[in-house]
Amino acid sequence: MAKLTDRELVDRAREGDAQAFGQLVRRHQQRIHRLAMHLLRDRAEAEDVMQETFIRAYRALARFDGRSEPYTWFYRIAINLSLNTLRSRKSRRTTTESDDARLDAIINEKQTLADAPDDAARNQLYEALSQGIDELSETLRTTLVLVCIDGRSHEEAAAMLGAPEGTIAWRVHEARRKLKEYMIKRGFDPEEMG
Amino acid sequence: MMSEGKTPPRNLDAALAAWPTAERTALEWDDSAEHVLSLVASGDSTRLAKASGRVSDEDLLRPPLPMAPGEVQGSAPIETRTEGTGMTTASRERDRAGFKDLARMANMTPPPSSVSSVRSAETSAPGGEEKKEREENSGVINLAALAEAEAQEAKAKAKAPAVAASVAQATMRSAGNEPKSIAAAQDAKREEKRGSPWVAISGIVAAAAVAAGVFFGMQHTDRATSPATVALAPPPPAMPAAATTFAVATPATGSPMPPEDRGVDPSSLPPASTTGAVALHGPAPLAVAKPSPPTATPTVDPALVAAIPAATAAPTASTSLQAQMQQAAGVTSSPTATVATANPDEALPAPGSVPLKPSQGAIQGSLGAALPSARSCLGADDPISHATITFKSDGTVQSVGVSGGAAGKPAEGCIRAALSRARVAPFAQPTFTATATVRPN
Repeated sequence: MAKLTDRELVDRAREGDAQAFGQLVRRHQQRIHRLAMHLLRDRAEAEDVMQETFIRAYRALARFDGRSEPYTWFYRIAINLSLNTLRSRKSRRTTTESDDARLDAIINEKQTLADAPDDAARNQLYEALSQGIDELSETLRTTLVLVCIDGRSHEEAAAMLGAPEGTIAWRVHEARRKLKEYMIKRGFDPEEMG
Repeated sequence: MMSEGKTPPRNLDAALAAWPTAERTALEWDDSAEHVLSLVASGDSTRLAKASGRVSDEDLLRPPLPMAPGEVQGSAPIETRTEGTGMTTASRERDRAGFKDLARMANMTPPPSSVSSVRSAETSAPGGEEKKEREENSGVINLAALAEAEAQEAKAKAKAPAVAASVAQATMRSAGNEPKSIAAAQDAKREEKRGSPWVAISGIVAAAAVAAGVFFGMQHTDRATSPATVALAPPPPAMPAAATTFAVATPATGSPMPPEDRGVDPSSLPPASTTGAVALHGPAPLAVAKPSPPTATPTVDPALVAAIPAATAAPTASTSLQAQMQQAAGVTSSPTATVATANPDEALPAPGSVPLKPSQGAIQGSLGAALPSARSCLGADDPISHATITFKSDGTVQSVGVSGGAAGKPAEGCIRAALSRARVAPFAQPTFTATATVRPN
């Protein structure tokens, strides 16, 4: 299949082209999965949210009005599903550091490169960052993940979260400020955290 | 993906942007995509859908985290999320419109509550219905009608002949001669009771002289101010608030007196049961007599009142303040009287006494009481539903619309019935619509 835009793929999927929708899934599943993992901190739940996101998006294709990019739409569904999952599990269990899916890559590296001193510092940094992010409110955390970790622009995050760009900028600023305070309390260099 | 760098990032932003992610092979991603497509094709539910219940499309496509109170607001418009009975942007807009309406209403002349609680029993003018309606809606207090109603009610209660001594007292007080005249009248009464006719006669003469002096003083004031002579008798403490009465004395048809020379008509004045009186000469300062206990009510013999010079006796027919005002303004109108009877049973709430719409607290309280039973209509795994509840102005529920998971299912009727039991206080708008989210317990 030639390189089609997301909108073109959506149009084709609407007409019943399953391959076109498969293309959309392949194009966006990694980022959706990563986003869900940062929001949920759980591998299995992140996988479920990623799958459910595309299934629900496919079933609601007729409702896609084309005013935003399809990936914005996927993100919105994924965030809503993640937040619903978080809220429903809140009373059931809490994530412990040892099974934090965000640190999977670091833990795997740790097993192979345990001797490298830089890696130890890096591991500490990301463990502390994970805990600092967990201290943030749902709103600040989600916005920070979208903008600072996933690299979405304020405009994109505004479209995904349904808030003005100014609000997104304020949230990012607040999240960074609080995270920086947390990191400094944990003994990290204020200049490096600046 | 981003785990290539092994050295610690130099700052916070770099650390966040370079967050390491566990790698997956292209084959693994492909398998994942194929799994998704197979689920799409088969229509099977994922583990997530099975575990958490199917969330409606509306909920999923809503903005996840719209701007919260206290956050910095940007210039772009925001979408808000309805949670429970929380206010939406649309409802805030409605409130703003409501405040504008209130401000507009505040600038209008409000219909007096006393008028709405009084029904006209009859109208003597041709086209009475039309006139009655016009008078009721005019915003002008029909003092004569109210006084008449009060007088009739008082007469029914106390059959003994009553003289409006309080009114005379007030009339005299307005002219600044109250202590002397009242004292004279009371002296005359006392002397009469003692059986001393000479003293009584001299007292009557003295009272008549004082009353004549008062009358001429009033006439002088009348010319300087307004022709309307209004006597206001506040209710005794034991009477209901609505018993505040007004009386307007007007000239009889064919009266030799010019309209500006009207005096007080005892027949149109409140009965002696009213314990205090206020005399009002048009726009002249209102003199308010404090109500005294019923036992201290001064009474004057009817003969004493009759002894007041004929010039002070007002014509027998009474008319409304509106008519007098129209006459004063040169507007031609027939000098007819509108007799009103106050019927407490038929009293309607004044239009201004109910809020324009129910308060947010009332809505939340009402729906909060009904929502638990509505929630019980949903199973634990049922998706969220949304209900739109329309209240009638009497506070009862007119209709309930259900959307979301329960729509079209048996639970819809159950939710509808549960929310139909909600009640709020009456309000002025024809209807008021609130929304509520019904989540499973």
